[in-house]
Amino acid sequence: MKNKAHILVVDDAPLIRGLLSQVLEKYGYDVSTAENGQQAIECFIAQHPDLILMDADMPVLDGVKACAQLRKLPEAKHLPIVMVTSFAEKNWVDGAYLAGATDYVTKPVNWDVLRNRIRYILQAKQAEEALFQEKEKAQVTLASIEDGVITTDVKGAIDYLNPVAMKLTGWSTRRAKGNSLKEVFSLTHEQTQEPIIFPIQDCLTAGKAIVLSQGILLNNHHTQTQFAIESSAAPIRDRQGQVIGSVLVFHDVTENRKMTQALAYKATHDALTRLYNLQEFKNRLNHLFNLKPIPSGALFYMDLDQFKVVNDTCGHEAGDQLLRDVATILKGQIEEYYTYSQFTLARLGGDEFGLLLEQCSISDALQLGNILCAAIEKFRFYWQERGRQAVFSIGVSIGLVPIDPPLADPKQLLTQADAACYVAKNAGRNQVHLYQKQDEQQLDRDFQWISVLNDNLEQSKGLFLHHQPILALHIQTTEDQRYEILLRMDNHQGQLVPPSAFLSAAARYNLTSTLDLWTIRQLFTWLKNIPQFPSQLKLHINLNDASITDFSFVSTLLSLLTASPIPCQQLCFEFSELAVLTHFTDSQTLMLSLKQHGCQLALENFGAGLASFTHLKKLPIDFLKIDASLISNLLNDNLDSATVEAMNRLAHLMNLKTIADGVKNPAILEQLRNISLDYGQGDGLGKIQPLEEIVLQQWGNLVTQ
Amino acid sequence: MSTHLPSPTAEECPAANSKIDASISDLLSELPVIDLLLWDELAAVIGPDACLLLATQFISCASNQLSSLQHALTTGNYEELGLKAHQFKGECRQLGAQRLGELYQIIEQLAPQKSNQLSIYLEHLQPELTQACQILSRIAAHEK
Repeated sequence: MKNKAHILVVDDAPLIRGLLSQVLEKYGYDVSTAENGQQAIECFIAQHPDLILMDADMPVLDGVKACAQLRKLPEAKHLPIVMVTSFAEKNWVDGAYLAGATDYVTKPVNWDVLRNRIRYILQAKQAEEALFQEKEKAQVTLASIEDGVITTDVKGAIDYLNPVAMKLTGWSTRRAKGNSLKEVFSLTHEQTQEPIIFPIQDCLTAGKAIVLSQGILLNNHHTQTQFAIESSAAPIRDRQGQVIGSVLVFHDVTENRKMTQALAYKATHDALTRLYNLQEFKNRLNHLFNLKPIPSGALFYMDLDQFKVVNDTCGHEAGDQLLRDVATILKGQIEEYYTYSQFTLARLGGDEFGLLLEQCSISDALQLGNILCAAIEKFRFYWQERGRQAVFSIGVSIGLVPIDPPLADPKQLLTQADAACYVAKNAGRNQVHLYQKQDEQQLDRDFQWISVLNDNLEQSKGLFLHHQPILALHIQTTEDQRYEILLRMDNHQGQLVPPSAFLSAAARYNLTSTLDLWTIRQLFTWLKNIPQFPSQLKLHINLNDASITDFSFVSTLLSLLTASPIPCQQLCFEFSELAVLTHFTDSQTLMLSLKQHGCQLALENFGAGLASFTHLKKLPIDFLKIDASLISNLLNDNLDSATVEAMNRLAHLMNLKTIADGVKNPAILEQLRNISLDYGQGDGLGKIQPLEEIVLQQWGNLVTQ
Repeated sequence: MSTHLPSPTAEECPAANSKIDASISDLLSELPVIDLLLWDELAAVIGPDACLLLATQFISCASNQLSSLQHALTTGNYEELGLKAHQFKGECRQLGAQRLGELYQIIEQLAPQKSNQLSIYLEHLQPELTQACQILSRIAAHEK
């Protein structure tokens, strides 16, 4: 409303019009006048006064009829119209009100009455407008907000739904009005899918706010959809504080809940295999230990055998697929054979899996372990890439620990399972090993080995170089004499032990490349002290798996070779077939670098693994050293004999020299000569001796010559 | 504006009452020609200058009022007669001319009946108007 209210005075009597105008102006209003009802309507349309003061009985169009016509105009719907008449008779008063008059005053007008009535009516109009604006604002707000809002009366019957509430519930306000809340606001428990009734009566009777937010789904029966919601209700009170209804506010958290669920899933699951992850596995194990009494059960620690071969020969994509396949097999087998209680299968990292069985006897757990081993052994992994197809068979080593009071803590239980798995792997892979107290002793032994190894490396003592001759089998020559350099270690108990005793520990603690470097440095130091080292002597040096992929080792080795005390042509580096297959690209790169320095190369343990001639073609090697397991069976196993013969023939076709490893006796030597192998090595041909013996032997030879 | 204005004297009241109904005559005689208290209140609201203007306007319109009523009666336009009487009644009452207001109300009521008494009441209007105008003239003079 404007600062000065505008009043239209309508009267056919000029003196009255003038008098009313003067009085009202004195009261502070803007005044305009009209002579009859028709003029009044025209003035209203043109000027939009805030109030009309109108005589009832006028010529042309009387005030009552004019009032009725004005009320038909939308903009005059709420206009205060005060009738002024000398007629106090009921028919005029009733007629005026029926026509929509706001109020009336009688003539002669009492100025005090007129002043107060107009002021009151205008204030009421102002209040009504303010109220209307507030209501408009509230309705626009309710229509605009993203929350659903439902109001009920004191009995819980629906009064109003805002657009969001209508959309989510599928009910319009018109249809819902008067219905009970439970009918319109139909809820279901997210987990149990049981119906839930919103406790609106608690809100209405206790007058307290209610929040309902966890795991609630709102059913839209119209669209047959469900929304995850969070909701709250509060009582609506009148001026006296009495509850007159309630307001229910809710919002769609479907996306948020999905995101939360996705995050929770991500936090507890392994992205690759969709199994539980290590953290969740530990959480569940801890939870089990918090139960009273702790239920019996079993813990599996599973490590895949030969996974690295697949991963490194066919790439990470193949490795990932293999892990997914294994996860599917394990889960499928467990679900099929272990149906009577809960289990938790998790990928613990790399190619390691964990399984937690609850309410399970140890015999059932063992049986399941064997089923899993059999399933994995039976499984064949096919991989095709760029027209090349490969088939792999793998295994799984399982360490099994019973969960049976008195118990260790969860952490120790995992360590025990890991130790049992370690034993299973060392015992020949693809088997279940039930944890024994001494299993951890093996881990302890490894730890002790590492302690001794570290001591020896730091103090440059306790490690020694030995050698074993590699003899040509068909020619007696002094021009090509070969020796394999071998490492021996003092076990701090006065015994020298071979690397097989401590290599698994060294590998576990990433010390193999350190040992390889120590061997090479030690050999070079020794060679520097020997003037005129005979050129016909060739020295074979082993490289371990880890060294091949160790950039620091490779870089140091190549640097050492540039300052080699003897020509690199006298050095032959031996790579195991498994190491090459596991790290084919790195092996190939290192081999080429060594070749550039003039070094010779050998592939050892050939036949212990895949015996892949396909790979041989791609490697710049000079020697193929056939694994001792084949050579030692040469006389007893026709298949092994035929295999060795075939390998020898194929190697010769590829211009490779062959070395038989593990020659134990003259009979095997004779057989090797028969099938034309080029070299032999083993206790039957020459014992392992300290490195210094080479010099004595050579000097002796020289004296003899 | 003072509320102690002189009341109309007996000479100023015309002796026409004998021609109208005695009860009405009695009623009229009980009413003041001009309600001076109302003018006091009006002056308090709109001020003395506006009151003076209003009194002057009333006086100047008085002869027209009478002639327009007589014209309506002469021409037999009783509807017009009733409407004019209604209008003048309102104005007179609002300005405190209570006797005139009563007379106009009687005329307004008799007009639809086309009563023979209308001419008697119209005649009676003349002295009442004169008397009211004299008093209002005095009020106006007093305001000056």
